[in-house]
Amino acid sequence: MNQGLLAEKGVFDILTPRQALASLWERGLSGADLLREHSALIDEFIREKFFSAFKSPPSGLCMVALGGYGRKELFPYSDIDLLLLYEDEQKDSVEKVTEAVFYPLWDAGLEVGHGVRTVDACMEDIDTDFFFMVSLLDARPICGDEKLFTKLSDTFLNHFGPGARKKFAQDMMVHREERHKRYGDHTYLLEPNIKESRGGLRDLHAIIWTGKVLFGLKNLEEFSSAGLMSKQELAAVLEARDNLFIVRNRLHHASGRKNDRLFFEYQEEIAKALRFYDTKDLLGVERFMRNVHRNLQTISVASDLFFEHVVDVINPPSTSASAKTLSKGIELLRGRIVLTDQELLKERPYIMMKAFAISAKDNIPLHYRSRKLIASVCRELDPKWRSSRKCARYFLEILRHSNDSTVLDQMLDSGLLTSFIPEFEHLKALVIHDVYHVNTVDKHLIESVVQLNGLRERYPSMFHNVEDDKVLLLATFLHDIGKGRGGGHAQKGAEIVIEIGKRFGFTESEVDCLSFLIANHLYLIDNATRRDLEDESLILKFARHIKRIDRLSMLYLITIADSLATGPNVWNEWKEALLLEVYHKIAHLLEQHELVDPDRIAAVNWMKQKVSELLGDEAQQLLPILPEDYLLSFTPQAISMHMTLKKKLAQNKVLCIPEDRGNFWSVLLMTTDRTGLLSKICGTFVLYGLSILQAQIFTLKDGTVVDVLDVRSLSGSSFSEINWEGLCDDLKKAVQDRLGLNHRLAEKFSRMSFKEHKVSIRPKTRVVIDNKQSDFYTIIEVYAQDSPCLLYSITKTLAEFNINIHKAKIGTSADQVVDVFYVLDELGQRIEEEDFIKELEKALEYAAVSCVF
Amino acid sequence: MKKIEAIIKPFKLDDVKDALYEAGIKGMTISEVKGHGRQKGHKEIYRGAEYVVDFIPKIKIEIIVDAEIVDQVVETIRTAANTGKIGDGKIFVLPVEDVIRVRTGERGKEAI
Repeated sequence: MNQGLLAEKGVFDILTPRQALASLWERGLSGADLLREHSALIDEFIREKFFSAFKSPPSGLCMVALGGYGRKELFPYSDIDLLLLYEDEQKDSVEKVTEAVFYPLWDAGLEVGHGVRTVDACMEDIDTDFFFMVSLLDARPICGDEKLFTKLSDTFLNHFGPGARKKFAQDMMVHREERHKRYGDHTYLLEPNIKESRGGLRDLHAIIWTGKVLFGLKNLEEFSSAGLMSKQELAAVLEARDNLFIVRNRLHHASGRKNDRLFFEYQEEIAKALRFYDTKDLLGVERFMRNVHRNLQTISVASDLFFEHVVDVINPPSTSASAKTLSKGIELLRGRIVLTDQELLKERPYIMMKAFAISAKDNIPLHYRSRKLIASVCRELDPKWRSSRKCARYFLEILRHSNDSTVLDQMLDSGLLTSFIPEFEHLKALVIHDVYHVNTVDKHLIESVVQLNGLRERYPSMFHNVEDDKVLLLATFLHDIGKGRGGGHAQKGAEIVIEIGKRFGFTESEVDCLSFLIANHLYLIDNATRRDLEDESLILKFARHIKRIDRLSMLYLITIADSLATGPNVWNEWKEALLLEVYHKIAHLLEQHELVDPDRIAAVNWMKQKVSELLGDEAQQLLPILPEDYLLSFTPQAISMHMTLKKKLAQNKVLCIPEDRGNFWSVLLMTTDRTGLLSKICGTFVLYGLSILQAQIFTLKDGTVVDVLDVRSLSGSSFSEINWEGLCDDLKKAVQDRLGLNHRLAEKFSRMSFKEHKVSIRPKTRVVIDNKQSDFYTIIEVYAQDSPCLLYSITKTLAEFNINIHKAKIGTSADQVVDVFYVLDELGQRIEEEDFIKELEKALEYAAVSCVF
Repeated sequence: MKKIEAIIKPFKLDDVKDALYEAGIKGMTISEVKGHGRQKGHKEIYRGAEYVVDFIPKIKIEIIVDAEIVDQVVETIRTAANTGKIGDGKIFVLPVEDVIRVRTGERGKEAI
């Protein structure tokens, strides 16, 4: 007799669950073995106590183990499910037994599920109590009258006529569905309940019980010989079961009670206890949880397939139907796709892909036997099938038509997917250990494709921008292929996917696009939430990185699909608002082809390099403040000179450097920006009788203003006759609001008469206020007849409205002046209010025809 | 004790977090909020389909501090979140009656 650890103590002493586990572990036991040993020890104890109550073993009394204990799978922290079976005659001895057996167990603090019943009482209860009935399925005699037990056993089995068996199976499936629903939401993906979740121990029990009732099988091990599972399947299921047993014991131990929920705080502890250490690619807890998910998945798939078979058994088809051939090797039978020729599938693997493609497209399920067949075939395929273009085509069709995850899940479960794309193997059950990622990576990618397809209706214009969706589909499906390799998954994924793209027969540019999309699948959302979207140069940088509107649209769609497939509440209106903003701004710039023209980009880079060389050490500080337009408007030497002059601004306030160019004079002005600056400059120039023919106005990012004005004398004076020093002094005063431009101009023009050009047909004055061309500025265009005070008039009006001019291009063509101003209001916003725009238009029209002093 | 609530531009979050961390404040609550203010939302028309976003995405940061350091913390946030342009946000200071740590039951300043 196996006295075991109890005997070590000398007395039959019951240990607490904690002690029991510890000592069993000490003996090197775990999993199924541990449970068996533990059951045996409790059996010992009960026998000892039972026989201690009587001199000789009585008939008509039997101690029976039920449920998990009956299966010899007694968990130390679980209840001990006992039944004292008795015959009426022995009614008076019952108390003696309960005292002898139950009391010591209770005294030791153990949970004992106990019942005391006659055989008849049992039979009454099984009709009303489903769980009691199910626990009887696993009944096993511990000690006492074996004949009595046999009576119960036979009576019980006879109860199951064919009608009852069918009902049992149906009830079992209903309970299973309900359980999956109750324990299926996303929180259970992160912290699975290893008993009740999909693929958990309860699914195993459901298989075992149904196997017993429907097929008369005693235990799981008999499933293989009964033809219900292949040898490999059974081996996999038993291994998964053993692993879950191990985890469950550890979990009970860590929780100190019968808790089956793998809460986060226990995951790390158990991972360590089971020696799942961190590697360079994954954390120990991630490796552990991947293992748990794999086991759950094995059992989940096995139970799904088993119950599909059960459905067929209890609802055999009433009419005989004939199979319809859909294509070579693929048949349609009773609404399911059937593959039967194993050799054909090995020879022509594309048939399996095609079958799934038909399944996805026409919504016809694949028969579970065919899926099992596929599972065994794809273990033996020649690797060169991975480069089959035909298979690639069918695979893309599957992606295209996956409006739910069924087909892709089945492809994954059967092993076909990882056989075709071995790079995907690494992602199976891969867990990312945080509260954010609810799905394992494999499921996440499948879900991303499903979500992408769901976006077709909501974002038709985006899809419109994508000519051929095959790159988009594959990119969505593989966007996280670089995960679980130690970080930098976007870049790693981009590299991995090149090989896959080639196998799929993609052209070089398609492979390039595929890789780009994966490398940048987080680009849009990262920049939308973490960068200043009002910075034009930044948006320009994004536009140049993405280069094409079709790529932009694809990135946008992948971003949303990815978020939706990550977890609930990841995607929301808030994020969408930012993503929309960045999308539109980039799209808008992409439409302005010259901005993303590689020649322009090359020119800018060349300038930056040259200027950098000239500026030396200061280049690092100064380059960032120089806008692109400015860089493209001057020579590197001129820019370098401006930077040198800039240093004197603190002292001089305004720098004014005129240059004689013969026909006109070019004046370089540098000062610091302030409201109304341009109008003060214009006014002062008018005061000195100078007409501005052309001007380029730039504002550097640090507020320095660099203006180049091409001027001419209104009264025909020569260069040397102009009082440049006086001009500069007055500019300084004007800029500091020390010059009374109004009265001075009024004075000057009352005395002067300048050659007025009498024109018979006056060119129309036109003011256009445009918010469409640029996302960053309001553009005001003024078309008017030239006059000396025009520019001052307009800029003064703008200043009065507190409008800031950031950039301007002033020019003349024939008689007409075309002035273009890039402006923002005093709050730094574009001018968008309807009423204000109208008011401003009127004011500017007026200013354009009448000199406003 | 005071509660400081700051509404800031989303892209300024990292700057503000860093600045607070430097100032010794490590615990805060962050939420994505929708702002309706002087800044306007977007109305875009793209190939005929109109997307109307009538709010401005903002980030709200909430922290509890000792009354003595309120001004200092407010200024830290303000400087870090400032861009000088419209929409930079606002900071609110509210009185707090009590703070309790769930794990231990500690109250008052120790629980901050």
